[in-house]
Amino acid sequence: MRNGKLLMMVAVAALFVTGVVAQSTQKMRVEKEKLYGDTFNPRQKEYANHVGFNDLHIQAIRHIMPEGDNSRLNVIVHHHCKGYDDGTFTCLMFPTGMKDQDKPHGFEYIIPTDQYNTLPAKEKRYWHYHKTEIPRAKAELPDLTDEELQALLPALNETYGKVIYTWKLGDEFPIGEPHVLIVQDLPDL
Amino acid sequence: MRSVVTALIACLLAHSVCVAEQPLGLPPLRIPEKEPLTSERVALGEMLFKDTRFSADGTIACSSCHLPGKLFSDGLPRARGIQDIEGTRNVPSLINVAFYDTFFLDGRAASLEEQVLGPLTNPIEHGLNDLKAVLTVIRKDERYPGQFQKAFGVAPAEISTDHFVRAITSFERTLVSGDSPFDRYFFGGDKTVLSESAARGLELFRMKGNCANCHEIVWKSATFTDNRFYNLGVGFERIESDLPRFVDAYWAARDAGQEFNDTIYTEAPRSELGRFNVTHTVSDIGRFKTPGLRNVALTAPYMHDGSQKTLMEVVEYYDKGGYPNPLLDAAIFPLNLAEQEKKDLVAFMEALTSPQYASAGSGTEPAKH
Repeated sequence: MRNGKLLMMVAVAALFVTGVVAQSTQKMRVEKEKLYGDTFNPRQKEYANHVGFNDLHIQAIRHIMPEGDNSRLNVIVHHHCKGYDDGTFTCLMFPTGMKDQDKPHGFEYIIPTDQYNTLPAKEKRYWHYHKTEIPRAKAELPDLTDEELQALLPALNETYGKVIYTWKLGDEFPIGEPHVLIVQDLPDL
Repeated sequence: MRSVVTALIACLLAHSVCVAEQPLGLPPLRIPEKEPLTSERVALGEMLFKDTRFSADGTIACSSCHLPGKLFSDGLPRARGIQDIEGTRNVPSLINVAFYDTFFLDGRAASLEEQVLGPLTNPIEHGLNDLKAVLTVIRKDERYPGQFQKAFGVAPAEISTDHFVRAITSFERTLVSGDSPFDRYFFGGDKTVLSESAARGLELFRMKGNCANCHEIVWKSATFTDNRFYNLGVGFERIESDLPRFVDAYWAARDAGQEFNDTIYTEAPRSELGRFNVTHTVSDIGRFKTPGLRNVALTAPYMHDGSQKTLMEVVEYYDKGGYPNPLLDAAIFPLNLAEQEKKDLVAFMEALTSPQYASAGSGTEPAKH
């Protein structure tokens, strides 16, 4: 069974066990919220079901290269991720916040351990092991209760991530060359 | 505060738009070219802010509810306006008000300027019948015409409510505070200024407590608000029994292409509809704006209805997952905080007090004429 589907099944099971699917059984008719720009998407078409990044939300520190002092290590980088059937995730990285005008500065690609093990030795240094890095990054999944998270953690721990930034935090635009952040080499806080 | 104004004025002499230096922890405050922040406008704005003559019976000034000595709030659960009439909402502090995107707790004003005039003609706030009374007071006063001339270069006959508004908002834009122990710890790198409990509380605030998802801290500043609106369930019990009938009536009118005329709720419960009163969108029922948290330890009681008296009550409320209702925000669920964790969160919020308010007293009374 693919790890991605296992992860999703564990997630659904965790939700069922805790009974937290909706806050109330009352149904209420609400308007569909206008989420997207009118000019290019006047009929509010949503492609989120197959290309969106709402499957997983992670917030983690130790995801920005320090400069001078280590204060940038303390910046929370919001990861908004989509999960795929092959067990991988692609995450947009938002280091400046989650407001309407905050922009992604890069990606984190997540692959399960068995896929990592097939990588060439030279490539492996770009990937960090989540079992060791999740606690170092004080990573949280803010949309899950503690119970829900604990149910998912074993599967999440057996994944590796590669962080690629196209935009340096603090620059007005994504100038210069993209860089891979070697997360495991960053100092601890 | 005066040093902020001086710095801003110096900047404006050199540039048309100023990104002013702010206290540690605050983002830059942009002052647009059309609204230069001059010392004359600020001083005039402060006078107007404290003047009780801009009310129906001469007893209510802006500062009657936004008391300078109470961090421009009033310490009451709900506002008390003219003839001591109690309103339905808690008075928000005006400290750092310039960093909000919308104003009033339901965000019905899109700018500081738009917000100023509303309370003057609200029958339970200042109680004026119309704004002509404002201009009458100004033109008859000994000092105001000269002050308006200095601030805006206008003759007495040219003074308008627009000038009145712009003077008051100039004053409000100087109400900034940062440089709290949290700021010195987080942005200044001084690891000695927070107690261990408050330092743990900061981590809880950003992580397990989920607080920072709405009360935002970003990498160079913290306004502690994302300027969005959320339903936490506070006050929802006042509308929930009639809500299905209300929503059905709303949709019946919408589907028939008719204007929705709400006769189900009286004034007090209607206030609990929150953002719905502005957007007329069902999903906005019960939503109120995320307030900033700077100096929060000094601005009890809390929530839009002032129903929570202490910070610990607030933490307990979030810990239990709010009040269940069909529109409760998805970000609100039980946190399972340990007792020490709750105390740590409170200690952290107490560390958001800026030095100039650390010994806040009973306040300056509004000017009486």
